[in-house]
Amino acid sequence: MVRDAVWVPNDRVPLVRTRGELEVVGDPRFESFWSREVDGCYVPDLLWKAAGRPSGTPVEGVRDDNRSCLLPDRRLVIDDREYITAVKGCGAAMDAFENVPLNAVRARAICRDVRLSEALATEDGSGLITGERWFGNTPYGGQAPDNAMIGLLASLRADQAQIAGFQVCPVVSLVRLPDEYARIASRFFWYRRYEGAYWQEIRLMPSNVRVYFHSPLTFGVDTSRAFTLFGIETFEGAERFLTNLARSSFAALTLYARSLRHDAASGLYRGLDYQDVWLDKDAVVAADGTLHFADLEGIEDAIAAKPSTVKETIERQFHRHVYEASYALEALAVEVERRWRGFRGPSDRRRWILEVLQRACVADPFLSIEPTGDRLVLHIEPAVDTEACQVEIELASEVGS
Amino acid sequence: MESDRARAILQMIQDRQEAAVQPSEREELVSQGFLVSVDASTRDGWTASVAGLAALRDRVREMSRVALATPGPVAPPELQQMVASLEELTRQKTNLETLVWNAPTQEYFLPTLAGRNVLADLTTWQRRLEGRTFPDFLREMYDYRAALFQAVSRASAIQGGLLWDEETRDAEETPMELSFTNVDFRFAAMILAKRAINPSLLVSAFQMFHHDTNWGSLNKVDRLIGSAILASLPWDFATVRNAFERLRVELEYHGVQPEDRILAAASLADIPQSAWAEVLERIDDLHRGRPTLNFLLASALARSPYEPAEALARFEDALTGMAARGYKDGIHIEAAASLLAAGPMTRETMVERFSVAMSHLAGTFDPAFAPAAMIAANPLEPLEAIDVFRDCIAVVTRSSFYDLTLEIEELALILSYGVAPMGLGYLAANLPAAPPVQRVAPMAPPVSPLATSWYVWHGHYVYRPIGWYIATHPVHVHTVAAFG
Repeated sequence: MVRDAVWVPNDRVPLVRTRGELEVVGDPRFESFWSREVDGCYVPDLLWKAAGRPSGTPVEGVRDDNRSCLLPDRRLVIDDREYITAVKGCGAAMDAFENVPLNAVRARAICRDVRLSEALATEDGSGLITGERWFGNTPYGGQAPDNAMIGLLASLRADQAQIAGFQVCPVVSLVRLPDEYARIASRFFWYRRYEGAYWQEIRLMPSNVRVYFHSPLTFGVDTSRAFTLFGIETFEGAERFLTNLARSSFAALTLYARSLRHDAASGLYRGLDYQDVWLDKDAVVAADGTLHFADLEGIEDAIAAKPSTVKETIERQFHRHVYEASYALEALAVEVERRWRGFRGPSDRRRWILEVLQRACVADPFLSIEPTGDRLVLHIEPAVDTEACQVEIELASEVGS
Repeated sequence: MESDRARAILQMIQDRQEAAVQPSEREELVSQGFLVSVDASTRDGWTASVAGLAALRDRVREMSRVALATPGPVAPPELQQMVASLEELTRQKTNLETLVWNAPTQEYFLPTLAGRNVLADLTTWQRRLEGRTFPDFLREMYDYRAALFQAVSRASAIQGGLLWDEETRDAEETPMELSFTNVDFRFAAMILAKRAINPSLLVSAFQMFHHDTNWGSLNKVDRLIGSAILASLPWDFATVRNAFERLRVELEYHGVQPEDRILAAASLADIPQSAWAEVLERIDDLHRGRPTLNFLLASALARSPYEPAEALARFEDALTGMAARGYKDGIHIEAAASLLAAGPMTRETMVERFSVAMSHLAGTFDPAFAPAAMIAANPLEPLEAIDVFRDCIAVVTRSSFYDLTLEIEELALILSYGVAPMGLGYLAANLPAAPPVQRVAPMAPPVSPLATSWYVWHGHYVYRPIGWYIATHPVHVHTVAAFG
């Protein structure tokens, strides 16, 4: 049975799909999808108008975060799960410095080309790929090639949307914005001009419900509405959802361990680690509760020379993100208590979470959760050199009190 | 079986203690799913199976690692089967840890979710269990919750009617600045739904008050609250509107400012005309005693069963007691104090009750003072009142009767007003149909069995801040420029 993708309605975004001679880098496993179903690049209509309305097909996207759009009618089933196409880098919705839409008026205010500014004088619409250098070396509203490539490389390590149990939103292809658009985008900036190519990232997402930030409905804030969206109508359904959320969250918390490799030639360990990304804003929750990491451009190999450094990295990764994961689990349990009662207070609720967590992870090859006295201990066993690199972390103290 | 005995059994089994459950008691609890019976051979089978859990888990993990290292997405069937077995054994292990032996019937018992829920109910209402059989208790709790769902279902139908009417009405008749939102209509619908009559009649009544009343004001929220309260009264339109308009005239003579008169008159509209003079005289006395008291606070005190001097003394006590606990300053504190002072509890206990309610409501309302006072001032014990409120939250949420999460508690508070299981409902009218009600004992003349003025306080101190928040915050609060 296929688990359907779900998405929360958001602002409609007029895009123009441009096809033809485009530079594309894609995952060969998804070639039929990216070369037929979603081929082309997707430019915001304001940029298309500024370019003099070259040939293209209007497409309606749904806003996802600030510089991405969903294409809900472009879907792909991987294994038994349905994913929706998302385009990252198809124009920013908001002004970079004010909480107002980036519309034609705002675009003209940052335009460095009189003719372009005049061309937009009578246009409406909002959303623009700009030439402002933003967060390192990324065009605001677009995507930089190196970031896009990091995302694709991480995605290539996935097998059917998972890396050793860590669920991801696969990047299927990268598309370079044609020069006719890139030249125009580079003429819009506030302070510093971005120097580089403009790319877009085509990825697949099971939902647009993020954990806490950056979506019209987030799991941590709008848990009641998320339950309705996901069709959770019984306690048993909620427990199944919690099982999937707990299992996938703990896979995310132990990504380094489960992706660890040892390079005999260099003598170095390599495993995937999170850079400037977080579970609360860069991961989405699927309808069955499975957490999928979306912003793969923030996942790269971390190198360690010796087992002690590997252990430190495993611990740091876990502690850096465990609060976000715990928050999601608690949010779910709080909502369960609101709807069906059944717990004798917060400690009873936490006991339920920990029981389900233990069951959820029982078949995980890289971790186990064992009671030790009045503590609950997480044993992490990396994919290589288990004896030397294994880590024990106290997951819960004074359990039962 | 008596309810107390059922509570004792379920509590002991929850605490993993032997409860000496007799066969007839066993039948009552097992047949309704509050306990699961496990015979000795099943238990022994589980014990034997679970002994192999560690070995199976190690094999599964080993095979999973091999499978992950092998290209191809799908785990081999053998592994999938083993994972399923492992999950089943883990469940059996959890079950084993919670089994309780029962000597009289020579079997084990396993507590269930339904059993935990009914135990929670029995614990909350344990002061009311005496002389009540367990089947009666279950039936009464079922009826009470069913009535809550029916009330929300009615509210949903009313809201649908209000929306349809608004959408199809001539645009010139309702200027844009006076048209209501979905959130507004849900608030009104929940108030109206407390009357178990045909929803279309309530829709018509609301719209008549909304459109055919000379409000003398363009304040949309006042008109919303006013229309909802007036339409909720069980009298014909002309009578209620006539009373409302005459009260506004009376209020003018008593120096009430024009901007206060809509809510003021609405808050008094349920009182028989014969009692108006006394209420208004009390309000004047209260204003003389404390000139800074606003009209809503004074009306709460005036409607209380206490003479003005005593009501003001209670009000002062409430303020002092709240300040001693760190709750001080501001109109919301004063509102809470007036609701407490007007309540039926003793002076000595009112702040204590308020503190209990505050500790449970903090964070659910902003601010939570008036809602906490509303809950503290009802005739139930504070924890019982909190439990009813939580039941109402569950019903609103499960019925999906909201768009914005911040509406849920606000609507649940309206739903909870006057409602309780086991005949403990504390008003004579405006209640969901099913639960039996307990009449308020006759007191001073201003007491009305309808007490719709409660909705004015809710509208002013709970709904209005939420409406303001919604009106002043963009919908897409999570779409920000940075990151991503």
